[in-house]
Amino acid sequence: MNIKQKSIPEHLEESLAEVRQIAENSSDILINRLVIGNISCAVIACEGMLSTAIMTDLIIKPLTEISIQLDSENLFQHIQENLLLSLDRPVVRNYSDFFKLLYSGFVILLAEGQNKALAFGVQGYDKRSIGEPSGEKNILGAQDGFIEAIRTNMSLIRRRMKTPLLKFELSQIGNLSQTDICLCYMTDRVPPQLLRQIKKKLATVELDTVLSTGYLQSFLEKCRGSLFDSVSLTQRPDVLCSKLLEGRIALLIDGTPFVIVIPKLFVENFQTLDDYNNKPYYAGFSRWIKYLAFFLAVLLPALYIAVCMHHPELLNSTLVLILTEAEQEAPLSLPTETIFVLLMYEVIREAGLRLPKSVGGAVSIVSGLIIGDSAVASGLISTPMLTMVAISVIAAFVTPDLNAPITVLRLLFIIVGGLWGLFGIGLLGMLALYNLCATENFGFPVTAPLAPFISKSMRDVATRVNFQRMQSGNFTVEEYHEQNS
Amino acid sequence: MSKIRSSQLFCILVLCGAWSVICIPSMNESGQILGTIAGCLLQILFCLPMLALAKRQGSFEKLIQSQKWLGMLYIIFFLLWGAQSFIQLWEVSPPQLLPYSSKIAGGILIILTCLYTSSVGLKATARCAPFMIALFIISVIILILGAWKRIDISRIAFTRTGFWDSITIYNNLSCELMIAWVLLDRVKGRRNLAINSYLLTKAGFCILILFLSITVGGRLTELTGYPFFMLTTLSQPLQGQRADALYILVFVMLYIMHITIQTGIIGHLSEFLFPAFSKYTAPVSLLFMLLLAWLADSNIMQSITTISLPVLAFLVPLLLRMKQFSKSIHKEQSQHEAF
Amino acid sequence: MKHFKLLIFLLLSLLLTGCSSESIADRVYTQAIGLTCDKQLSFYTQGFEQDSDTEAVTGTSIAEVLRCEESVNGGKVFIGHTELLCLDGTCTLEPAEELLFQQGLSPACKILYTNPKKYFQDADSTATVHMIRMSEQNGLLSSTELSTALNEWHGIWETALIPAESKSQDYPELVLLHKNGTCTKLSDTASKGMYWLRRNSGSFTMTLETPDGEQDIFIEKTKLQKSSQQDKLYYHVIVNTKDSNEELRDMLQKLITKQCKFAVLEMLRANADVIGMQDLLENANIEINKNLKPEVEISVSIE
Repeated sequence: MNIKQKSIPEHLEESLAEVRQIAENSSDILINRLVIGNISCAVIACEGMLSTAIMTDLIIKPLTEISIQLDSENLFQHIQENLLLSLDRPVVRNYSDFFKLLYSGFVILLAEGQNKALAFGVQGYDKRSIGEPSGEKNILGAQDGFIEAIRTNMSLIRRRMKTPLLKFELSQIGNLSQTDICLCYMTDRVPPQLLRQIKKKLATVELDTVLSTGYLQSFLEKCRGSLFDSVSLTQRPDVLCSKLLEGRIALLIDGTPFVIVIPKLFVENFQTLDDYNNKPYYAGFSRWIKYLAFFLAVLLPALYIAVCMHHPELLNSTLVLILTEAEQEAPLSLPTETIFVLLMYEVIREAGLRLPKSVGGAVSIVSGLIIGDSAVASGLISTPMLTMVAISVIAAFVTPDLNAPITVLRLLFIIVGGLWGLFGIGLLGMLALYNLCATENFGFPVTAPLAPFISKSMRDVATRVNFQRMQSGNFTVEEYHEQNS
Repeated sequence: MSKIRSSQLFCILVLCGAWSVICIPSMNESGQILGTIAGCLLQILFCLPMLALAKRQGSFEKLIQSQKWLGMLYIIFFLLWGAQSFIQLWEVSPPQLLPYSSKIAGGILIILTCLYTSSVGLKATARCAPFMIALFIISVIILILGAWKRIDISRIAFTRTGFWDSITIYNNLSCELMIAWVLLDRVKGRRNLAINSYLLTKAGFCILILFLSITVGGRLTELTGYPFFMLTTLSQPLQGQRADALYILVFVMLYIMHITIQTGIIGHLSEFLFPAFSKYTAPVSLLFMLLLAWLADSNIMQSITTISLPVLAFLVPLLLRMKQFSKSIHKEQSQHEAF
Repeated sequence: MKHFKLLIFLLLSLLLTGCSSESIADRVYTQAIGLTCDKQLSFYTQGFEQDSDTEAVTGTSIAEVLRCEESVNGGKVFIGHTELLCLDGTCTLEPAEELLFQQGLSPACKILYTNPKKYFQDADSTATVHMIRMSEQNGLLSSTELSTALNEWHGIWETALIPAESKSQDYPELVLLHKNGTCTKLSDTASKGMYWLRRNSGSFTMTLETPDGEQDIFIEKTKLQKSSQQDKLYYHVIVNTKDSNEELRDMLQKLITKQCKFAVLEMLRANADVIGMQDLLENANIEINKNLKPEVEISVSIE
């Protein structure tokens, strides 16, 4: 028998010895012995997982003030029914639950003569304060974002959706980590089949530990070879609530501030919260800027290379002469120059992410000087090409969620554009389009509502109509579901 | 394979039809405009049996499952059509289009692309079709904008020359009806509307190309042999530069879609006939098409597809419908007698 | 194994990008080209730089002369941006067709009737192209492009209307260039008449000689209506102007009618058709031959 499945013995000393053995005398286990009404008891806690002040006030003090003489069974009954020591008071019958609760910040009470223990939820571990999410910034929306503590995140959602239709289902995942996860959905809108399929998928996870969303994402995404995500991540409670209202399912994971939302649509990469705070005409305009930015990010360097190398007749004569003069001095071929600059940009971006904030500024100065100034002045790279790459890179920042596919596709397009011109770009364009169209998850195609085309949804894709028109939609994501997937 | 929407079927048929129109040769007589309209009406008539059958779900699939030899005939038709498409690509594409002078090299690049596009299934193709339609519409608008200033209506001489030829040419290049017939069981929504809309759209596009080639190209149309490519050369929206290289994008993407649909349908039919080998059909059929195109005689293949198109797309559904109709009458009569 | 193969493929692709054949700077961009076919095909080019040298190469075909030009110039000749094609009449149709459909010459390229050898020695093609364009905009010259000329050369009369260098005036004069090389110069009046009889529409100011001196009249728009009835062809020119001076309008009408009649007369005398007569005759189902001289009636209205 697995030692953790073993039930708690009645003898206190045996029980404590078992605890020390299972925990391998770990230094963060605190065992305090006390006598409550002539019965030897022990209070066990994990250091750092609870607030000692709260534990003393809410647990230790009331327990030590019990004066009536009871046997251990009646003692536990008295504590559970008459003393409200905490709101969360599960009964522990085996060591698996014992340690799960202990490491979750519960205080466990063992008593001589009892083959069970009482647990009291007085979690008080240090956690980050709620602040603006780092990735999803906006101007007019809320400035709070999810943090690593799952229960805090649940409260952030609940504060915005004060309806009994919003349901949370807590469970644990990870054989060793026993990480808390929470499925969150609106019971009246969620497609039941989607919920069943997700639960079935999560039941198949056999990981030892789940430390971030990436661990579970691959289990929830069906299309392995797809460049584009079919599940989305968000750090914003307001964005999550809007998605829940559309019938989507959220998966919160303890220990990460990102929440997985299923299913995802490709057009969501171009929607931000500010679109719903600005006037419709400006929201529509900024939406189209984002679409344009995506195409610029992926295709601009490749089109520049293809046109310069294979189809210069597409440019007017003045432009051709300017580009010819610029490229004459460059020692490398156009695609090589472009790939070199893009790779340097990726290196600088990675460096900027990993460096401490205090030296982050130096990275931008050095990269600007080295690449922007010295390389051009020395003739290593040409100015028009650098301009194209810079526009492409800046355009990619407009849709940060698509950073990975944009980076890969941009490089691939540069290669095929350099080799085969617009013919190659057409071939790779079809491959990318097919890859996007083939991506679906749990029967929801990522390309909806563009393909299959749903005209009603264009009011929030091609433009953003005002809320008076949107409120009558009663839209749920189930409209996009393609059966028999 | 799950269902596709009628709008997606429309997009697929129009894209295949657009490729056929791009490859139409020698259309420079105004009488051919009337011939095209007549050809379109003839095809609407051709489609009546299959549309009547489509009201009863599963007609085509039941037929293929019961008559496997017929399924093989359809597969052979699509293989021949695919091979012809490769030949059309080599004949039609101007020298600036393919990056290699060797035909095989260009064909191999296309096959490598189609290997992936046909492996993801017809559903992905159906989703891709609306995006391609949008790109196609943009390219047609650019073509019209470029041709606008050069249109000379006086070049149209209203004659009946070419009327009968154009009906034949138009019907020879209408193999999309086979796609419609094969996929009809898998379409949800208004199938009649999708097919009729496709026929009208294709006719409209053909008439547009014809009209522009006569009014813009005039006598130059006879030189190139393919009016669409002559138009892309002559219709330049801007004075300082040539924009015909942009059509390479549309041309290549249309062609990939065209071949992918054919390969996808062969795969779909193989699921009924050779379920154990269905995952190999895409690479095998693509290679077979390329080999056939390289080795076989294009005139023989053209003749076979021309003869088999009305048989497989019109006669077979007609006979099937007549059989169903006679069965239903017989059933009614026996019910009446029993009563 | 699959990832390893993909990695190798990507690395090879990255290396291949350096081996690509042409860079934008490896090409030679020509602004003007010239062709003569005296026993052999001679090909002249002039680049966009004003001081660029002109080298003539000879060969038996367009493809061959382009290859020779490549070895002389040290880079592939690119004619996609060429704005001017100079012909002396010794070669017209086939080389021009090959340049348009096979070699990527722009259909909007202007043609100039001149001796390419002399022209490229001292002329500035930028100025020539600019002069042709301004003349077209100012109603002094009918629009002529390569595609239009090819269409006309393919007609029954095989003659195209081409601008030619002029020593006596600031703008080019027009010539009727036959496919076989014979050339007929049009008078100044006839050249201006051609503007109204071909598809031109633009706004410009015309100067009229009145008893009170020179007076300007602003032409907003011009339209041409063509029709045929039996064996007679009708050309109706409609000119829009806001000028309400009746005398001036009357003078304009008379002037345009005279110019058009001169144009038709000289064109028929030269056995040519550059005003679309063939299309009208085909529409009227009239049998056409090279010697046919149809009756053309001109009418002008000022609106």
